[in-house]
Order: sequence, then C-alpha cells, then structure tokens
Amino acid sequence: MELITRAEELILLAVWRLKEDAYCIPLRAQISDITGEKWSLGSIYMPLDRLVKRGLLDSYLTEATPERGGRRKRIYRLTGEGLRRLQKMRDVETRMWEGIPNLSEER
Amino acid sequence: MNVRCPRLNPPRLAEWLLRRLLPDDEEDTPTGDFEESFRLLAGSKGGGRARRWYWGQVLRLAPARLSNEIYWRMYLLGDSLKVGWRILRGHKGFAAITIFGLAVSLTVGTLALVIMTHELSYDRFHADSGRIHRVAMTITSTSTSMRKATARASTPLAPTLRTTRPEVESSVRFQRLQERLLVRLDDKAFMVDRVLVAENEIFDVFSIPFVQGSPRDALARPSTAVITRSLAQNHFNHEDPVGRTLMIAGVLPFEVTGVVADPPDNSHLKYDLLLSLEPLAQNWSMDNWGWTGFYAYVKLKPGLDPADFASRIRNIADLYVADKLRQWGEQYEFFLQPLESIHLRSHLAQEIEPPGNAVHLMILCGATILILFLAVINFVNMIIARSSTRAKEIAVRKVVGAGRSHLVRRFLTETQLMAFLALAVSLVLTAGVLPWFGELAARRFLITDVLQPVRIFGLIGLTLLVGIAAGVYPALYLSSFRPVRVLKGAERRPRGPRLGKTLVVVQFAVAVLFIIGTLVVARQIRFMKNADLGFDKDRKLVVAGNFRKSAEAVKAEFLKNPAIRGATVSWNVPGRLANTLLAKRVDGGSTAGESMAFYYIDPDFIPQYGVRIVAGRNFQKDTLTDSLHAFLLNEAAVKALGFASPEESLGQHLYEGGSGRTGAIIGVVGNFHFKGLQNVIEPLVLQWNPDYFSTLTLTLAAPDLPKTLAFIERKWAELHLGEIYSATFLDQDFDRLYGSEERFFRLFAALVVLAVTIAGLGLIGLSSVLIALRTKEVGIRKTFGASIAQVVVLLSGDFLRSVLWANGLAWPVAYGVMRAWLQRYAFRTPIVPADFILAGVLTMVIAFLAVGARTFKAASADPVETIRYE
Repeated sequence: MELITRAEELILLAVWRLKEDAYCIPLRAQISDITGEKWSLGSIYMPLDRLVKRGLLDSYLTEATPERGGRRKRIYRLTGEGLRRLQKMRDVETRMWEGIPNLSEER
Repeated sequence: MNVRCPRLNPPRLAEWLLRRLLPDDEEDTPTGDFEESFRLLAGSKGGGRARRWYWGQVLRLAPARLSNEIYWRMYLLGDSLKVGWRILRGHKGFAAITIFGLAVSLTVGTLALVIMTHELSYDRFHADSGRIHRVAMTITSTSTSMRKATARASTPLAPTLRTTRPEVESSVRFQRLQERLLVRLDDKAFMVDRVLVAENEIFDVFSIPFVQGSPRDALARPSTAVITRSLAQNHFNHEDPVGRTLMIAGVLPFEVTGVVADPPDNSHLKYDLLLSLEPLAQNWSMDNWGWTGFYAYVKLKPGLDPADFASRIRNIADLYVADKLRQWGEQYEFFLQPLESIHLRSHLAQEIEPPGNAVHLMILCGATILILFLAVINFVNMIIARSSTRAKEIAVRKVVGAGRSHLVRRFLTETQLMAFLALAVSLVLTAGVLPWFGELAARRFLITDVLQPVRIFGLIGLTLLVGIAAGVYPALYLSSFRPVRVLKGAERRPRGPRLGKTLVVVQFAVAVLFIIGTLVVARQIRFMKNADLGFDKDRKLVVAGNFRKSAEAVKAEFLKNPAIRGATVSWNVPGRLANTLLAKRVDGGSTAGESMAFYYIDPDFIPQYGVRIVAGRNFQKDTLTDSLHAFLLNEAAVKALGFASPEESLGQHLYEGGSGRTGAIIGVVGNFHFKGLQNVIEPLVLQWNPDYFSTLTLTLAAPDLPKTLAFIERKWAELHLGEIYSATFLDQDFDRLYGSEERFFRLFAALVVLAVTIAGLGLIGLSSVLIALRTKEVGIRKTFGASIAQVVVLLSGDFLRSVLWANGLAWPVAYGVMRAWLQRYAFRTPIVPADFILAGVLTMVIAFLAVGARTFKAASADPVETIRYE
C-alpha cells in the first residue's frame, strides 16, 4: 500500500523539519504544538516503529547526554522511500482538495 | 548523571520498571526519552508533577505489556503441556515406569524431609531459644588426667550463676527422676514416667505454656506440682486438678498448682509431672559442688557472646571450692551447649533423653539423595533412549523457527509436567505408607505433618529440582539435533546406549551399596543380640515391687512353685539404669576416686545371673558384714581403682560416696555387658544393700508359661508387694536397647527394596528400548544359525556386565561406609565377604529377571518378521 496514515504523515514531516534533532522529545513537542493536542510518547513511538519497519525512516544513535541519564538518543531521518511517499501524499491531497472552495464560506 | 541536582532524577523504582516494560532496544533510548521528558517537565512544572507523570507513564504501560507477555508465555506453556501429555499418552509404559519411579523416590524424599525438618526443629520453639544454653561440665582427675564429660553440672551452679553473673537473664536447675514414680490420687494410684524436680525458674528459661495456673509462682512454694494436660485428662476425668493433692511415693503430699501443655515431640526436655524442689531436696546436698545431680540451663541477656560468657564461667568452681577440688584431686570445667544443638550434637553422659543420631540422619539424607538420583537416572535414560523417535519432531520444530532455548524450555516443561504428576502420585503413596513409616521412626506421623507450609514448599522445591535435574541433559541433547541431517534420514546414532549403560552401572552400584549396608546392619544387630553378654538373660522375668523388708521371705514364697527355678532381688537389672556414685580406695591408692556404676544386689544375684567370679567369693547370706559393708568389683573397676590384679584388690577397703560407708572388697566378678553392647564395659561396684531392693528376678522353667505368669501375678498381689504390677522378660527388655539399630535396619531394608525396584524398573525400560534397536541384528544372527540361548546370552550379557561393574564400584565404598558406621560400637561384628558376594549375586539375579523376559522374547522372534522390521 502506498498511502500512509495521517499520524505517520505528520511524523514524517516533523522528522524532515527537525533534521539533526529528530528524536522522540522534539518530535512530540512539535507535533503537539502544531496540532494543538497532547500527544503521548507512546503515540509517537508506535508510528515511528512502524515507519522504520517499512523502510520509510531509518535511525542512528548519538552520544550520551546527562539529562537523559547517560543514555544515547536515537535520531530518525527520512529514507529516499520516505521522501517519495511524502511527496506522493502531498500530490494525492492536493488533487483531492482541488476544486473544493473554502469550507467555512460554504455555509 | 545530574550530580548537582540529584533530586531531579526520575523515581528509581519507576525507572527500573520502565526499562523492563519498554520494547527491547539495546541502547535503551526510550528510557532516555522518558528521562529527558521528565527533566523538561520538572523544569517547567516542578519535580512533583514530573514524578507523577513518570509514574503515570509506567503504570499505563504496564497492563498492556504484561498481558501480552503472559498471553504468549501461557500459550507456549499450554502448547508444551499438550504435547507433553500426548507423548505421555502415546508411550504409556514408558511414562508409567518413569513417573512411578519418580513418585517412589519423591515419597522417600517427602519422608526424609519430614524427619529432617523434625530433627532440625528440636527446641527451636522456645522463645529466645538462641539465648538458652545448657551448662555441662568435664571432670578431670588431676592424677590420672582421666576426663569425663557430663550433661549434668554441679548442683549449686545454676543459682550461683543467677545471683552472681550479670550476663544471666535467668537460670534453672532441675533433676529428672531416674525411675517411674508412683503417684496416688485419692484412692487411685498410677505410675508417672517422666518426672522433673525443678525450681520455678524453669518457666523463665523455657517457654512452657500454662493452661491453668501461672508461670510466676507455680512451683515457688514447697510441695507444689505442675502436671501436663494429658496427665490431667487421663487421671482427673474432667475434674479441676488445681488445688488437688497428689501423694508422691506414697508419703509426700504435693498440691497441684498448674496445668501446662504437653511438651512437643521436638523437645529434648520431656516431662509429665513437675515437682518443686522442697521438700525432696531437704535430704539432698544442694550446696555440694561435688554432686553433679542437676541439669543447669541459663538464658543469657540479649546481644551477649556465649563464647565470652563460657570463658568467664569455665573455672567458676575454683571460686567456691578450690580447696575441696584439690583435696578430691579433681578439676571442674564448665562449658555451654546451645539449646538448639543439644538434641543432635550432644552425646554426654546422663543426657535427659537419648540424643538424636546425627550419623543416621546424615545417612538417611545421603540415601534419599541417592534414591532421587536413581529415579532421575531412569528419567534421563528413557528420554535419551527414545530420542530417535522424537528426532523428527525436533527437526521440524527447528525448521519452522524454534530456537535452541525454546526447545530446551519446552523439554524442561515436559519433564516438569512428569515430575509434578509424580508428586501427585507420591502424595497418595505417602499417605499410604505414613502409618508404617511412623512405626519405623518410632513416632506417629499424620498426613497433616507433611502438609505444613514449610514442608510443602520444600516438596515443591524438591520436585522442581528433580524435574530440572532430569530434564536438563535430555533437553540439551535433544535440542542439539541438526534438522537437515535428521530430515534427510541420515540417522544419527543415538549416544543413548553408552550413556545409558554408564547410568545403569551407577544405579546398580547404589543398589549394591544399600544391600551391603543392610546386611552389615543386620549382622551387627544379630551379633549384639546373640553375643555372650557375660551373664544369662534367658527366661528371666523381672518384676517391680517393694522388697526392702522381706526379700528372703518373698523369694521363698515364689520358689514354692516348681516352675520357678530361682529368684533374686536387686535395685535394678542389666540393661537398665545403674546408680552412679563416687568410689574411692580407703588407702588412697594411686587414684583419687572415680564415679562408678553401682548395683545393689542380694547374694542370689551372681549365681542366678550366671556371672563369673574371677577372684574371691560371692556375698554369703550368713555373714552379716557382707551386707552393706562389703563390695564386689568387676574387672573394669579393679583396673580403674589402680589394682594390678583382681587378687591384689581382695581385702582392700573401699569408700562409697552415697552413704559414706566403707567396706572390704571380697570378690571380683568377670566383666559383663550391663549396658548393652554399644558401650564399653564400665567399672561396676556390687553391694548387698537391701535398702534399694525394688526388683525381683525370677528364672522360669519352660513348661506352661501362662500358668506360671498368672501364679506370679496372683502371688504378687497376695504379698502386697506394690501398687501396680509390672513384669517384663529381661531378654525382650534387653533387645529393646537395640531399638535404634532395629529401626535403622528396617529403614535401610526399605530403602534397599526401593533402590532395587527403581533400578530394576530402569533396566526394564532401557533394555526394552535397546533391544528393540537390535531387532534386525538378532534376526540376521538367527538366520546365520544362532540359537535362542546364544542370543539371550548376547543380549543380556551386556547388562550383566554393567551389573558386575556396579559391584566392583560399590564394594570399596560400602566397605568404607560400613566400617565407619561400625566404629561407633564398642563391640562389633567383623565385615565378612559373604555379604558382598550375596549383594553381587542378588543384583545379578534381579538384573537378569529385569532383562530376561525381554531378551528371550527378542531371541525367539521369527527372523522373517524381524528382518523386515525397521
């Protein structure tokens, strides 16, 4: 299946935007920020895992930092396939929205 | 780590939980994520909030993760159990043999566990049992440096410690009456077996629960008595015993002031009746350090080092009686024995009750482990021997992705299933054998004794252990199969046969060991029973009563009956207690005197008991001074007193410490075993002392025993010789001395039967598998002209060789073990080769019976059928 869910899409976008800083905490902060809803860590992990398994993301480890209790970060980045999939989602959405007037004015 | 602000760390426990709950990530990054979030939150909303959040995350995570984990574990477990069950059902014979063997050995394990926990629990029920010690002593003669240790201490010791030593919280002295005591209640009379004469402090030192009365003052007043609940129930028929009066020994009134619970089985201090010191102690020299008549127990204050206290009181006697000790030529040293260790470890003179036998306990423990080991071997053997039939299953499992650890876990689950089935069977078996076992252990056991929490846990632990021990090798072995080779049909020659044979050797070695052990124990018992004791114990009826005044007249009355050949009165008879007194040469001699056994007898005793006279003469009825003022010694006493020969002792004068009389030594008797054959023959002094005559020995002629016995009882009542008639045959009485050995023998015999059964079962199982593997070979041999007999010899020869090996292995071990066991006996039977050979023949026969039928069947099968097989 080529299409991805909205949550996955949001995460892919956030990963792309955060670049070198794309690990769980900022990802969650950014997504919560933009959507204005609380996202739990769990709701970030699940799609992240799925995306890694499907090859849309890969990850690498950074050095350990003290505020993480000496643990390393896992930074995510888009794979080529991930980027392609995002592009496709965007195309699909643009085409779907084409010709639809501003919904709030319809009333 | 944030060293500067340690409070900013997430809660430790929660973090630990989280690490276990989060999906595996070798670098632990998710935990790091949580910790970082925690710090952020702590920075913005405060530590408390952050901690709550962290915990919330953990708790929300837990249920899903756990249920997931449990679901899969249970699924796999259920699957393993299902497959295990199918395999059991598919191989009913195999399953029955292994499970039954295991159940039998687990039953042994259960019973051993019951005995062990019982023996080890001795005296631990007292509050502060760790602080309670017995003070025992060694007496060293300064001239001869002879030492002897006694469980009783100097009589004034306990009160002295109580009043002078600040380390002592409480202490007590008490005496246990050596004889049964006649007690009269109104117009009834009964005998009480276990009587303690004690200070009231006994209730401070020991935890003795009161049913009625108070531990504070129950024995504080003179002439007071405390009875046990069962004594109250047996003799007071629902009446209130408190306030009633017991007449002790016919003349002394004691008022019952309390009723206490019966002492538990696992107490080394057992009693039916407790009496206050006064007025009994009026005639006793309670301040005499030289009289070791009382047991002394102390309870130390908490936190004290017993060794330190022991070193302080070691020479305490020197503070009080240094002069006298010098005069007596003796040195007293006191030492502490922890209460909890008395039952198994203390083997001093004058123990309160016969101590537990740590050696027997260790042998029992070792034997149990061996029996369990036998069953485990069967288990391993059978699984390995059948491995070829399961090879395909394992291969397929591996092909579809099972890892080795999965397979190991699966096989362990299967063996555990069998082990627990065996446990269920063994509980039924245990319930069945308990009554018989109680007889064996001389103690009553109920199934509730087994079903105590501690023992149940022990039992489950044991079963798990057995399951793992049995399963681990097969599991590793089976899971090592290479699927490709197995599935291709490149048959892997199972390692089974060689390992199996080795294990059979081990099993039969154990069986041989047990058989030899039993035979040697039996030989020792027979030896003790038939040995020449130095006196004649046959056809002697021993009657208790009071013969102080009229010994001669009573004897004459009984001798009127022609069926009674002889009669003699004495204080006690061989096999029972002797009095212990100080005996000293009046001329001083080379020794300062010696505690010796004393027998109070009349002139008929020596001829009636057939004791040899080595020198001098017996007491003579018409020589008045022979009574009280003359002594006979045994040869051991002659030596102990420092005489060079029996003849030299004649005419010398002796002082005895009981009544302080002196008298001449008029004769010497040969050593005779008055204490049974376990002990060396100790020095013994014989005195003609009618004051103590309380036992009548009648030598009976053979014909019509019941009539004679009836006559004796009638006559006894007619002559008013006592309150309660009690008579026993001396030989039976004497045989009872060997009760401990008898029990040990029966236990060993039972273990032999079990060991042989289990080994036999194993051999039946293994041989049937191995012979099945050789079916084709047998067929080919037969087509080439082998006879049935030749094939039988061929097939069973293998197993019989294993049994020979087992004998070779077991013999030296058995020799060593049994030699060590026999060391404890002063008089012991030699170890004879016949026992070893008998064990060898027996095991060969059993092995042949186990494999014989099977080999014969295989050998007589039609080769046409068998070659086509496989």
